[in-house]
Amino acid sequence: MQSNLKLKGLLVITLLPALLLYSFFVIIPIFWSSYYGFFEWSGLGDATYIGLQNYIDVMQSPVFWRSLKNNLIIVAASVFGQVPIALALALMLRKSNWFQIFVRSAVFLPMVISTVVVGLIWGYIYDPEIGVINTVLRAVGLESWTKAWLADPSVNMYAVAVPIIWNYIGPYLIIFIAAIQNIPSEMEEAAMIDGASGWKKLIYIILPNMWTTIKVAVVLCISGSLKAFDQVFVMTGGGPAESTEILATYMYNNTFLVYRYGYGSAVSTMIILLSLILIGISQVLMKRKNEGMTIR
Amino acid sequence: MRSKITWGIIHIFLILFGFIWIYPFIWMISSSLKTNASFLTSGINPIPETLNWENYTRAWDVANFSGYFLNSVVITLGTVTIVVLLSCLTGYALGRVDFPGRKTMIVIIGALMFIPTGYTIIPLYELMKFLGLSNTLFGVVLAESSGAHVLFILLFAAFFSRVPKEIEEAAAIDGSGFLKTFFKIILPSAKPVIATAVIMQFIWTWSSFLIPLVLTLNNPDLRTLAVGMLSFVGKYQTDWTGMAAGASISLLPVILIFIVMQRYFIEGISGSVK
Repeated sequence: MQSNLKLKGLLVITLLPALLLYSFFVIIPIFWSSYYGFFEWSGLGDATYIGLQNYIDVMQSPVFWRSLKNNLIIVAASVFGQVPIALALALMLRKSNWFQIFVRSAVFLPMVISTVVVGLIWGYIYDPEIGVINTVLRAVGLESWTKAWLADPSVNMYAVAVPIIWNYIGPYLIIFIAAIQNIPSEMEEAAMIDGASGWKKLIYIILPNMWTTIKVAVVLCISGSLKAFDQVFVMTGGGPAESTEILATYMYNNTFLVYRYGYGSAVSTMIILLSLILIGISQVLMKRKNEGMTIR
Repeated sequence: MRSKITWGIIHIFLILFGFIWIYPFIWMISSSLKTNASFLTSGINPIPETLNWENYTRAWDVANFSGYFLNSVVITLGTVTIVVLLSCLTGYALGRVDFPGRKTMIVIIGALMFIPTGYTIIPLYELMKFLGLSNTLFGVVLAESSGAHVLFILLFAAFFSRVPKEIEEAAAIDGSGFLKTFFKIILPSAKPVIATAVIMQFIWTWSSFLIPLVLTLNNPDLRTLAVGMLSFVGKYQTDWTGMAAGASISLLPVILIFIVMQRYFIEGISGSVK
């Protein structure tokens, strides 16, 4: 009895503060947000109840669907860019001599630059007049390849995705290197004795041993890139003509630029619903997740 | 012999790759030391003709980076302290204490990772107004601390599940209460994980943009470095060299915290991916 009481006290001390903070500033705002979605409101003055109209408008807005499509481009670019590049680099950089540590640090470096600065720097790199890419292209005589990278709707979504890949690859590299170094050396030795080397070792020993880590990385990657905002907001603000609008910039612009608080709230509710669907999918994908993070 | 050549090629590739990878970073540092005129004429050449520190004084004084810097420090220190302490406590409960519903809770926390916190910014803004915390640094700290911190909680839980139970039992026999044991024995034992959490949370909060942007929309004095950086972008032209200087200033503390804590950082991550 006494120990039961002690356990309860312990749980209150350890879990309650985080739970309170989380429900107050995350859970309650989610419901509050969906409630706002039922109103026509400019942020000031009175709000008018308009039922489901905002939600219907969101569903019927072509820009919302374009933002979703653009956002999925960023998700795909992150998953198929960050994970394979980080994996390949991890395989090349698994030893800890000074050269490899140096390259590792270089790859990790963009992570420490703030996202706004990343957006600003790449805004310069893509600049049609003084930017690095066009300057280099002109210098090597490929004048015809120069473009207004962030303005041309045929390329700007991909141009926007590159800095995001660049920005966030570092942590995946570290996770992968750690996973490779944690493969028991006996396994590799046994494989060597069996005559497996190079590609065979990679396919039969290294990759299977890293599989759960890779899955965790993919899920982190999806959830991270779904939240993308900073770099796109700084580079293009969603423009020109809403061609690089992603979900977060669409919500922000509707709320704080044209003051449609109700509509913006409806958008954020839709995004949260979408994320919940992704939870479902990823839970199926990651059924045996506890292997990756050992919690017994 | 063949493998030597392969390694040679890989080395050359890695050097080239590394250089291109950090070029934007080199560009930033070098542009911060160029005059505006030489910046525009030098093309992609990263080496400044003369070292010109005027951009730094302009950013620090004129663009009010001294004020932004202080705001960023207060917000980041507050947030890192709250987040690391709370995730350590939660991780301890989940990794260490056997209570009914623990497994369910781990699954729920794993799922929370997907709820993008930034999207509730409108009600969060209203909530802060309601609490009288809008236009205060404390409000920003609370908003920044309120995420699910799934990664840290799982790291701490994994770590604590591997620490031998005898430690607390010994402390309990000595008559030490939970909080005392926690701060004296448990917390210090988790150094590698703490360092990992501190570094990651420091980087995230330091560069966090959406929350401070919205919560300080009406009060420019409370802006952080990340938000203040936008002041270099004009409607018609951008002050590139000033921006580069401001960006370099904002990078210093992150580099510093890395150098201080990197020894534990890798250890903390490798310990958790087993």
